[in-house]
Amino acid sequence: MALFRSAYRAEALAGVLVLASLVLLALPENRQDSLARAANHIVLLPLAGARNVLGGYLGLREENARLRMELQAARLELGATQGLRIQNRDLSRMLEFREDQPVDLVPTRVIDRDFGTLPTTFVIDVGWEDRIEVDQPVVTLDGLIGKTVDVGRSASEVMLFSHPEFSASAMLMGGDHLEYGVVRAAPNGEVELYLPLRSRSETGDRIVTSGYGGTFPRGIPIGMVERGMEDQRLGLQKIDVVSPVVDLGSVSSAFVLRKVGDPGESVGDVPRLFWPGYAYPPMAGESFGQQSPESPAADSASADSSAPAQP
Amino acid sequence: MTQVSRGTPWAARMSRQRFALLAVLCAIGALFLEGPLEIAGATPDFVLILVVYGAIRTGALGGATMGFVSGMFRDTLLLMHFGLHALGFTAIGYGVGKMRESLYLDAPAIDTLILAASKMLLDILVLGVAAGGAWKAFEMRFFWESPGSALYTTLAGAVLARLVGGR
Repeated sequence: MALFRSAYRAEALAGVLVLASLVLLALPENRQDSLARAANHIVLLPLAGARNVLGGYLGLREENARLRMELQAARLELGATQGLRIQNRDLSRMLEFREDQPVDLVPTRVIDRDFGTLPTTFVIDVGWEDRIEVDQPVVTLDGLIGKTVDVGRSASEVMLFSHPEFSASAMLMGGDHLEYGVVRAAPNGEVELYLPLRSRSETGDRIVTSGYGGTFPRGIPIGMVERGMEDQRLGLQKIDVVSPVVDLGSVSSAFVLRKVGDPGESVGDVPRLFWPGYAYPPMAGESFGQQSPESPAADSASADSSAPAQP
Repeated sequence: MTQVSRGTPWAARMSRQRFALLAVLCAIGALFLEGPLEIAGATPDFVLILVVYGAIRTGALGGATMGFVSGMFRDTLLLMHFGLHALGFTAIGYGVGKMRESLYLDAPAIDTLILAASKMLLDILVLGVAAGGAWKAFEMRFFWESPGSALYTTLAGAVLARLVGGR
């Protein structure tokens, strides 16, 4: 025993630690996820706070605020600069986006993101105080970015479509056909659409949420087919690489969709958020925006928004 | 020709304060610098630098402990495959600590060679598990990113050793 204590202490400790790691790895994914999130909150949130406090102590916060005010004043004096024009245009779009919408949009700001090269989670500044719940879609003006997975009092965590555990039931809008599949993130960070093997998907086909699964209403843009490839594991599915419509690296504000239809139910008005004048996402090759909202196609489609519109 | 002696490793000769400074710099690097320093997919692994130098300094027992704690820290940052980095870093910390007892660790640049080899071994484990059977993705990442990351980690480790350890 004494020999074990002295000579094999390192081996024994290393063995115990390796065993502990293996036990953690062998836990079910949801248990691993909750453990990792708890540890993440304990370790990283204080660090983010400490970073702010440290910045404040060093006077950087005051200097930052002063410089911001000076910059703002300079901008006002200089008039409509390019940056302000873009900001103005974006804010105007956001206002239009929010008004008269059938779904309940909660505007939010991204206040933190994970430290990886490709972000997989965001923290937004709304929580259960704003009636946010778990599994609510989060979108930008361009399309889907993810869903809420952890809701606090005044902040929530968003799982982005680039997260390895993200999946969404999706609908491929081919030139003359619809196909249903699942969108997931690949280990290398690419977003992939899993389709039946005989799929006729082509480069450029639009991909939107299908409305199945209960989390995402039908018609939120996800991306476009960039290229197709074979399933390297079993060859039972076709996998298309998706070019997302939202660049996650540049997202600073978003909306949470508060009202979501029951599982299987289509919230038919959601496509109007992203394609004004359309009750159904336009098919591939169809240039949206040129068709007026009063056109017969749009009216007939809006009569039954759950049925696919014929091009 | 350089005289190679089986003397005390340089990391073990560092004062406690200097080693603590190295640990803080590595933690800051892991939290805030790895993303911005990325070049063509290659990033320096500051946590690995800490584990390898820590193992050289303290031996197998300290190396395994430091590896496990550092690995948990890395797993907490990444939010996936919880325990995978803890496993890899524990093995590396133990292995490097064991080597300290049997290798000429005072030879020039041998610590940087150990850093590079450790990074490659760690990537085999981490990328292999993360690929989940998609070997094409594993090959792509391992052969294109890992050598660059190993070189980058080695370079960062040498710079830190020079700055903090006074090598």
